Amino acid sequence: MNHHPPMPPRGERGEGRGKAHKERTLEQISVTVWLTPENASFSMKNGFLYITCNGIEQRAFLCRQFPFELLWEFISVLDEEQCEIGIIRNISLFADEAHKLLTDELNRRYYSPVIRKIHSMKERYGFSYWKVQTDEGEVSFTLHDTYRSIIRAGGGRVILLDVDGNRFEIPDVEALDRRSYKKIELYL
Amino acid sequence: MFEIDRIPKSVIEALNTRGVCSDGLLLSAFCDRDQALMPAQIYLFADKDELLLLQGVAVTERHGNRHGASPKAKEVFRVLSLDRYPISDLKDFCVEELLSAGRLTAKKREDGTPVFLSSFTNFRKASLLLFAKYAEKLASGEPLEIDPKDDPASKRCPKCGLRYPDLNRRVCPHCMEKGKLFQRFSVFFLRYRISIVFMVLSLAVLTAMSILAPYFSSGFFYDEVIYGTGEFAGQILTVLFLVIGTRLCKVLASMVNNYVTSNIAAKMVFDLKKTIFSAIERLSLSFFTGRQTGGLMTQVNEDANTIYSFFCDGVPYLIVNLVQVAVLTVLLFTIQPVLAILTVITVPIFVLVLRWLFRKQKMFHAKRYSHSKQMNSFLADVFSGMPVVKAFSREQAEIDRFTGKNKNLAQSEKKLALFTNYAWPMAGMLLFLGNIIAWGVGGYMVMTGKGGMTYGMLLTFIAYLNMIFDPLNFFTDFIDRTADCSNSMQRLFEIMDAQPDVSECENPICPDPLGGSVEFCNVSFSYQKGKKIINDVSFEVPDGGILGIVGHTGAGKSTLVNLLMRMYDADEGEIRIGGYPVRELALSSIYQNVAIVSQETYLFMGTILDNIRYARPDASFEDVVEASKCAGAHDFIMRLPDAYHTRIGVGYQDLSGGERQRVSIARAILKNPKILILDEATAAMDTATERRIQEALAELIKGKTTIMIAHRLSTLRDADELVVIEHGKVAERGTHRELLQKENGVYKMLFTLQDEALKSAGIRE
Repeated sequence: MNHHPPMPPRGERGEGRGKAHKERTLEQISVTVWLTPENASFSMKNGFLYITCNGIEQRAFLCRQFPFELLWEFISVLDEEQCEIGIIRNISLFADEAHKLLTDELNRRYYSPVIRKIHSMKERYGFSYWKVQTDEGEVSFTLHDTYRSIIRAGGGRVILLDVDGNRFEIPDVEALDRRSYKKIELYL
Repeated sequence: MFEIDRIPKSVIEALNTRGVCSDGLLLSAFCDRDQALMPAQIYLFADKDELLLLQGVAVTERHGNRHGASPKAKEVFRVLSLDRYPISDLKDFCVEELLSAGRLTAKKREDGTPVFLSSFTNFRKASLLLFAKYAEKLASGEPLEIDPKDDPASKRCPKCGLRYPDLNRRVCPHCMEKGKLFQRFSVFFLRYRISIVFMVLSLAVLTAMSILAPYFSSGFFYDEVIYGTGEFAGQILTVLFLVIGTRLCKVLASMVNNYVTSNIAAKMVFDLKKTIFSAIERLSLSFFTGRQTGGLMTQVNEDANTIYSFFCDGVPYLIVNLVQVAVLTVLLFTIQPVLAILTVITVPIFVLVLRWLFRKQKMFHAKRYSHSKQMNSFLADVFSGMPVVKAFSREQAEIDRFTGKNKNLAQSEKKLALFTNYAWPMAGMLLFLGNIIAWGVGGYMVMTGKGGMTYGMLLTFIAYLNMIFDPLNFFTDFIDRTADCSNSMQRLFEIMDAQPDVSECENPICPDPLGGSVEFCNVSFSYQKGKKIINDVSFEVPDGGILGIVGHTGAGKSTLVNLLMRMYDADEGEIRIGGYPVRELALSSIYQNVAIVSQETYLFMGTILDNIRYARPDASFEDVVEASKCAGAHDFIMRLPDAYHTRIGVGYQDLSGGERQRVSIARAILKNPKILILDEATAAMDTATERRIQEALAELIKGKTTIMIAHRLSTLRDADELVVIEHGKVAERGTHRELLQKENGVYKMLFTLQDEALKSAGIRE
């Protein structure tokens, strides 16, 4: 039923119009480029991650394809326009330096504080105010529409989305101490 | 200086010691992470020439004599690093979003190499977005004008200084004035004052009778009638009549009370729902797109009920119960003060236990509610997806999923039932404790004759004692009900006070007839700050002309239509209809003269006739038939059993997509507008249906200004001019012929592509 707009082929435009409008054909999208140490190398410049692939060096943005399940596998590498350069099947394919670069970048990209303990939770007028202990110390945050802001991500994993756009994670909600668990129990 | 975040004095001092004059700084913000995303304190400053990054640690230093009486504590900012960039060397300030954090980056103006300025957690994101926006202005040499909307003061509660948890809802939960809420609401409530007076009166009589009853039945009956002492000695009939009389009064009062309550309840809920609904209807479209419609429906229903039950159920009972407790306490003490003290001791314990029980029960209820909600949404989901379930033969998997949800629900229901069954009898035991004390001590008093206690008095005493617990029960629950009600009222007032984003100017003009020309002059618009959907778009359509708009999905075509209809207001630029800016036109004037036929047709529940007449309820039958003939809808309507009176909507006759579309076209034809917008009107049709509808449309657009939006370029053959929209901008303009002659043109490419696709599929248009 859905009528998709036709995709213009890359060659006819694109180059002449600058990088901002890089459209890709269906064929280009459906062909997967698997990145390996043979065809890609990574480096760090001014705090940014760079990839060199096919002789082109550009900034690389990493994305987990299955962020709840596979942390170090199926990593999409995107360019500045968010177009996929290729996929890393498993970052362990890359050794030493590159492996460390990728791990660090992914850790930063997916940084989200882990809640170890819930000190207090107060609900008022559709908002809930939380005080929690994370690995980095005590943090307070606010949830709006508490039921919908607390997501079960399979297993005991729970994710809290606050009003500022922060994500907090509880790796295993059952493993929380009893007092903390009771505070969140109602919303699970 | 525009302080997006408050800058401590110590930081300014640190800056000064580093030789930076803080007076000329124009912009400042705070970042809480360094490049490696480790916790850090980084202050950003900018002025016309420079961008400064000051990283350091705030420490408290104690000065003076170590043994001195009061060493002065002083905040000091120890600088770790100070980076300076000439701001005009930078461009494209940008906030890159990570998952729970972000990066502030920019690019070197000369070669576009990215510059990493700082990281931050999302707590700081709003500030850094602002910083990026204004730093960009400084870098390009523009003067710094602060949009009042961006002032951080507008994001904080003016009273307590805390940030509003939700910026779209500027309510500070800490400072919300409950008193004012109730006061404001009582105006609404006063409409029913006569009924309420009756209600309180009947309740008062009811209570008085309940209090009197034991006095006659126990006090008089045992002490005077049976023992034969005092005024009523031997007059068994008189006392019996008194007992019957009080009982009758009680029944009568309760009947009056019920009558008034049922009357007022229906009326008040009706009024409340009407108020909420009309308040919602008044608002602009953006209010509805920003919320879930389901949430709105429950809001209309639940809030009305909560408010009603508080004012009609809660408040009168509160008054009566307060009086009852006071009277009963006085009575208990007059009967036997010592006994009263002994038994009343159990009351606070009882109240505390009750409160705890209520909390606990509420939690069980909430859990059960959430489980049943999950179950319901699961059912709705699976049933509407039944074709998919069948197609992938996943029935068993769905049964398993259902069993899981069902189990959860059953379990929480079991827990609730068990709790109710165990907890309340236990609470009853506490009540019984008071009784035991009364029986024991009171009985001893009656036997020994100490304290002037008689058997009748003891019975009365115990009856009163038991009556005091009911109101207490009520009070413990009342606190939570007050909170619920103030929340509902808060939401209600919020909607009532909400200003529609789009409002008419003070003296809207209503030209009749309004010309049919449409002009867009340098229009820009964004739904969200920073993401321009429409960027400097200009075009014009003469009266009676046909304009085609082409572009990819998400290019902003439909937004153009929404702007023309004034569902939203453009951020920049001007839109004119018939030469008048839309902002100055009366909304009714726009709606009367512009009609949309879009891909998503919405038909309301009701008959086909109602739906066609929706735009012009006074249209004659001839007009309706004529319009549906034009729309090619007449034939299929006549094949339906009830013809124009066929009911459509959930549970009734189902129309196909093409049929619905034709009904909606008939609706538009009947409206006979000056300007007609066809927004992908035929995109969801098969070719044959599309052809038919095209013919209907050709009839409709005769002599009208028409704006056609389409993917399928063949639809646009009749257009006088075509506008190609790409990424919110006008990429190309011209007639079909002109655009086809453009080398490397977007339109040409689109056209060739579709043409080839059709050819390869063996279809010739």
